[in-house]
Amino acid sequence: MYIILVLIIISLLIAFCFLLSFLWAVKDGQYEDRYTPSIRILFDDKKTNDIKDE
Amino acid sequence: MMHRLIFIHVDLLLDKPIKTQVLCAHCGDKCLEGIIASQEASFCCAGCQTVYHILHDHQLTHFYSMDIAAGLSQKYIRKEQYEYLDEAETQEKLCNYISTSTISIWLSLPTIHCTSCIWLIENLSRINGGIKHASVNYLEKRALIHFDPSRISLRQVAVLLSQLGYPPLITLHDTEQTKEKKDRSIYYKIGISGFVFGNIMLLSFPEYLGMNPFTDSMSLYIRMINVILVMPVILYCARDYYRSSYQSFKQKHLNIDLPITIGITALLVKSLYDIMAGTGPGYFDSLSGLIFFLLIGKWVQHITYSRIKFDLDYRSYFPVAATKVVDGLEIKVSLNKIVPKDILRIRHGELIPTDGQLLSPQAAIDYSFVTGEEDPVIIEEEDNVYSGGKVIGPMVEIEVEKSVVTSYLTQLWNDANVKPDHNTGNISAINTAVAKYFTICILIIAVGSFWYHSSYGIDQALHVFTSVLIIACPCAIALSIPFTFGNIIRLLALRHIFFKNTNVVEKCAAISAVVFDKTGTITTHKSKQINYVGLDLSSHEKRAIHSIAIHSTHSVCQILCKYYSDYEVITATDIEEITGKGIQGRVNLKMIRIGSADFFGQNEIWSFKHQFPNDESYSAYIWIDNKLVGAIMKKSHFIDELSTLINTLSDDKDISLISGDNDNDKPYLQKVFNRWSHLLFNKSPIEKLHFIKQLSLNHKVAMVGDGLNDAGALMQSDVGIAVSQDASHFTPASDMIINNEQIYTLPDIFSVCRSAVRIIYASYAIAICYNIIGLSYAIQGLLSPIIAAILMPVSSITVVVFGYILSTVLVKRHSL
Repeated sequence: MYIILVLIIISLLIAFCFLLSFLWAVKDGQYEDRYTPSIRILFDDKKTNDIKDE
Repeated sequence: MMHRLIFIHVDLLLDKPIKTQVLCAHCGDKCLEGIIASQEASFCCAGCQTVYHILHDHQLTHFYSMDIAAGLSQKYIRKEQYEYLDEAETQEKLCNYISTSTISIWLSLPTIHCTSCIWLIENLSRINGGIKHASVNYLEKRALIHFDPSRISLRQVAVLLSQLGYPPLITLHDTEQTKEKKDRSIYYKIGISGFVFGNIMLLSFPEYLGMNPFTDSMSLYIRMINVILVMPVILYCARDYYRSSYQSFKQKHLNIDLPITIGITALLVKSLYDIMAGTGPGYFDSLSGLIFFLLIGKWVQHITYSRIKFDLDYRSYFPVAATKVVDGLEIKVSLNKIVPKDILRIRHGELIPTDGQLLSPQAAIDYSFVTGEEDPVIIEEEDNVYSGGKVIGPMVEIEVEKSVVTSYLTQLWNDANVKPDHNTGNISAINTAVAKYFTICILIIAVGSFWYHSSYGIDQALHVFTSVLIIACPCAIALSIPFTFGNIIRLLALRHIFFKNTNVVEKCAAISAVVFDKTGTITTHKSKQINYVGLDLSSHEKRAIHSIAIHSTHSVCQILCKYYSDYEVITATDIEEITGKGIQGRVNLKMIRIGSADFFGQNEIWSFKHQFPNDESYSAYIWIDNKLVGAIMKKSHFIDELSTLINTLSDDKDISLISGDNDNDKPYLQKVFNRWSHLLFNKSPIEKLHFIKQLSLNHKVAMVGDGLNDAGALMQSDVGIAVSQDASHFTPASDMIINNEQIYTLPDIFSVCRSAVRIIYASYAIAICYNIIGLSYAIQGLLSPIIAAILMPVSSITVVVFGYILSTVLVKRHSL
């Protein structure tokens, strides 16, 4: 039955990775502007290939 | 496709002008003042043509295919030269990051208005390779621009943007502010507590269901994991609640965070005890859930409309630099380097940055934003000019007498800012009142049941005592205001009515007196209208009048141009404008004069007035070939809904009007306002402030105003409502910003706020019902983790959903 304990720890670790990626996204400023990206995604970027996104 | 031609119905018999209307290829406006045509496209002005050509040369014409009339007419956009951006010191203050290969800067671009704008600005690198990357924040109307200083200077970037029709707005405030870091801790806290809540819930699940398939040591391990998991929540996420309740304890002023902290402590102590003693799994799921919900409530309450600035001061109103004359040459200097005896040159539409003396023979200055006076003030040589005024008409020179920080306007602002008890900030009065009785009640119940159970042993008594504190934790009460008021604020923001925070909703509900400013508040800026009185004019004459009026910057002439905008402009000669009097010029050999009564041939005026009698005074007269043909009367420039607005509001509120302007409009306003209203004119900003102070002795006062002259009154009042044409425009510090087209909704706003407070009381009743159920378990000592884990979230969710739905219905009902 102790295998469950191992599984719990693995599941916690995976969940922790998701938490970290959330914190990273916040730190990166992805929650500062929640509107413009929704417009930007609609731009036709065929001609703008040469512009490198950061 | 670029050639947009619209043929207007032509009817010669009705004496209408014959014309073909051509629309500008860039902005879609009518091309009035002569058409500039090139490359099979037509433009209304040279500015639009420039933009079109830049875009065309860089294959960026895709811009026009996204939105209709994506371009902004360049006629009204003032081009600056941005010389001051070459100064290293200014650059350092403005830029976020400077190195030899890259500079990055946030520029405020208030003219961003559509999808095409975003596309164009983000493709700036195709126009100039020196720009590495640009990204727009649409709601804040700002763009982050990275560029290579060896290939393009900051000034060139600003000029390029300005050429494209997006002149960066750089104010004195930008150079003085310390680069603030955004507080993202609420997101971290919500993320962590959500993670902990979910995992503890999952791990506690077997125990909820009453199944314990694990051996004792197994369940001990799981409980240990829970203890570890909950630690960041206790130590980090809930920190603000401890701090706030410690403050409240110290100030002997109970707030809602105190019972919450008591609840958290009780949960923690009880859970640790249960786990150590092996008597139960503890309440960590409830604990982390509680904090998770509370944090979400806090987040909802604080979703600020970051594009709306409520605490602007005079520094955001001033530009960064002014034009100084040294040895006959113009140089740009930053405002804080202006010293007495400097000579400044100020052009049409520019702001006078500091107090001084006029050197030019005459000037017209518009002080409407500072004093509330509507008409420009005409001053002569050697008269004093004060900071904050806008120069109208020809360029003027002034000699500086005071530095910017000691000028009239700055002093005015600083005086107004001295407001006592200004830090009552974000504490809700309702919540504070409830918190007080709630905390006392709960403590009495807890102690009472402790005493009752103490005969069964200290263990049992302590169990009951902590149970009462746990179950009574006022989570639902703390959540009801954020979600109900927060939702109202969000819905009203869609109608351009912006609240500073949720407390303003509460304060609005209690308002019993409303004070209005006149200029800019209940008068309209847009579409000022005039009536023409006098002899009938032919279309030739109308055309001639339009052709002369267009050369003047005076407000009456500008309205006149709009009035006759259907009549084409033709060439005029001998144009002469006499400041303060009028303008004259020759069109097709006819002499046209537009101006005030004393401009020309005064003796005709009396007989004209006799012939065309009128209640109100005429604002300008028109002479054609020495003959007085007609006069112009400004139509009531008050908003159309004014009388309805005042009537509705005066049902249950005291209404007053206090204006810095003269009492010309008094007869009209007396008809609109009821006879108990105070109508005060010629009041200085300080007098306005004192009036509000006096009124607040007996009333909760809302001040509705727009200019700097209202700044003190807005701050002194319980709810300061700033009226603005555009939320991105400068408004003085206030609690609410409302679009001037929405001002007629004020009665609805007050009534929504009053009903919203009733919703809060109803939510409290629901929360207390849940509490009574919970307490009935707790007092008997029957509280188990599973009951707490069900009851606490259910009560919170009920209150949140109840508040959310009712407030949505409420706002819809008032059709806001």
